[in-house]
Amino acid sequence: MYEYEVKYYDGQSSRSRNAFLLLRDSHWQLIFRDENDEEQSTRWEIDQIKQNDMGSALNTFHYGDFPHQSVEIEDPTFIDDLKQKYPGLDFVNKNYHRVLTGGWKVMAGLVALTILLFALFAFVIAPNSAALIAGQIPRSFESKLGENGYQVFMTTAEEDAKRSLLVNRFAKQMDFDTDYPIRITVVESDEVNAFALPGGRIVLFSGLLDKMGSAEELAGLLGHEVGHVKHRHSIKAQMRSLSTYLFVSLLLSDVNGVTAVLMDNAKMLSNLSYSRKLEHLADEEALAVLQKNHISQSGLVDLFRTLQGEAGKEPEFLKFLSSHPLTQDRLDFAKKAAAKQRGEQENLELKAIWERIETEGKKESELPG
Amino acid sequence: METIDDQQRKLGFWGEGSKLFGIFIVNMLLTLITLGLYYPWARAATMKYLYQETEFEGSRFTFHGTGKEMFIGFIKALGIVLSLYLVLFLFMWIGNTLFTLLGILIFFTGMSLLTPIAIHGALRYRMSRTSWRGIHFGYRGNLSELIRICIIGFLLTLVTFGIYSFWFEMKVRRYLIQNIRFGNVQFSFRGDGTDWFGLNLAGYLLSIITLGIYSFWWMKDRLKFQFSNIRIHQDDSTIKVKTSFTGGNYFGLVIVNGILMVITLGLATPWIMIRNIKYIFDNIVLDGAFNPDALEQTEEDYRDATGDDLMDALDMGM
Repeated sequence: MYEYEVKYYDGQSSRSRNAFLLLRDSHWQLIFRDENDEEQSTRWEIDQIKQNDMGSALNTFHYGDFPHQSVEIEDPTFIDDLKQKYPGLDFVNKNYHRVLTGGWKVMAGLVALTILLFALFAFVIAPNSAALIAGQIPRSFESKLGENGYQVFMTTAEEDAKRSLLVNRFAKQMDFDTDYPIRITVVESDEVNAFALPGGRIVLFSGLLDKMGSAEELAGLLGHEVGHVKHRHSIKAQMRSLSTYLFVSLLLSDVNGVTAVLMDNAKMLSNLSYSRKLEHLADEEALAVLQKNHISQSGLVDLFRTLQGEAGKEPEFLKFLSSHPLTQDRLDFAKKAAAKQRGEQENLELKAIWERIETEGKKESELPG
Repeated sequence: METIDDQQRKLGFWGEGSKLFGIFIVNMLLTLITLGLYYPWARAATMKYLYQETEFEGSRFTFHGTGKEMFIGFIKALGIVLSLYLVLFLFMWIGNTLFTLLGILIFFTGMSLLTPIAIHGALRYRMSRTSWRGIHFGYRGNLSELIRICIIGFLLTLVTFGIYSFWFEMKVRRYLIQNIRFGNVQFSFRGDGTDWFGLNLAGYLLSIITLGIYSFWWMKDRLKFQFSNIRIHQDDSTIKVKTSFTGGNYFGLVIVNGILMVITLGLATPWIMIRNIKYIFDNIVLDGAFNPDALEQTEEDYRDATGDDLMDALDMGM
């Protein structure tokens, strides 16, 4: 009982010795013949035998400190025998052993649990903690981030100073209900687009400004972009993608993945693709701003029509579409709100500034080159 | 026991996909629950399994690394990488161009020094933690020598627009392999940059001409080059590594792996890992007189896993 034929290695050389292993109550005894064919015996204290993590067809056990003695045991009953002989002692990592010998039911249960946990982290914990952190980011950091992004963007863009001045004057006439300093820059470009940076900078491409037909439409656009600024959408979106990335790289423990996200976010500062949800929130904000300023909410409807009309024409507009999902839903949402609106008045000052913006725009397009 | 006259030996691998899958699942679960802290233990478990299922001359290999060692290394490696980033961001934050440039300089110098440091540390750790019949491997390379090779190699690669990288790669490989010990057994690598460059150039051009079909043969040639140039020295005898990789069997491996990966949405990863290891072991033979009983313990213990974790963090595989 509890005797096994094993191979014994003394830790000094790779010489393989056939040995007998006897399991005693307080130790393992190994009996073998040395190079002079004399019988030798060595004693392994139970508490210094190293745990084997997995167990396999051929098990190796190590003893003591470096250089370790070791034995190899091929006996298939050995691991079970160990359990019987030394109840309460784990020579093989219990948990792994249980999983690896537990069959398909254990495995399927573990797979299900893993998927569940993964989903919980990916869809609940990571985004929510990201939102929490985004809320804690100080204003000064936010404006610095926006300012940096703006500087980078402007190195390759050309400002239309006259219309920037006018659009800013236009914005001054409106109450956006925010203490973020709103500064708008009109940039020369055929692109029919606009975006907001964290901290209050808004970039409006002349391509979009040219296509717009009324003061209300511009007011709607500004309301929408200010909505992004006010609700810190840029920071939120970035924190979200950062958290997802961190989560994935934690799992794969790929510290370098962080580099990629920083690169991505640098791109995002100029590209700013927000999720549908954020767009919707910004649309709601735009409607509220229009209402507060007694401006007709049909301005937002007109803006969407302008954008929708563009969608079919210019392939470049696809870019806009992918970041601002301009669906019929959005148009319908604005229409519905506008139909219910009460108390709108014509704002003559805004109208006057808008007319000057339009005239400037026409002058601009008549210029050669 | 096989006799010394038997001149050809193979490495055996007994790993099973289902067991490796079990290990992966436990790893992933615990990594999730501990928010990633378990990761070093997960790596140790995977390594232990793969080693213990690798057999040579009737004995299995053992990986002695522990999660704790790798965790300490992981924290150190993380600290090193993060502090480099911190320096970069602090200097950029100051905003002034001079400081930004200085920050970038420090960052990239640090990062490029990190590569040889990581390789050196990883190899020392990995080798010291590997044993067979109680005899440990070891790596005796000198860090400053490796850094010197890397700096010169990097600069030459830069001025030759990347062409030198083939010679550089072989130089590093020769240096690393010749410093590996397995008890009193030594290793060497005979491949040189010119052959390596020729092989890759021809492979690249032929792959383009054949619309990619040749790439399987190219990859096969690369594998063959990397293994068949290894020599193992025991006392006065030299053991060669003979390979039987063919474009056909490599093609079979890759295609089946690809299909498995796609239809199981990645769940087959452990089976694919096992297939890859088996493919290598099935196609290499150690040819020459070798006495498996005559290895003496010569290497010291080395338990610092920082380099190993740095390698992992830098996405470099061994």
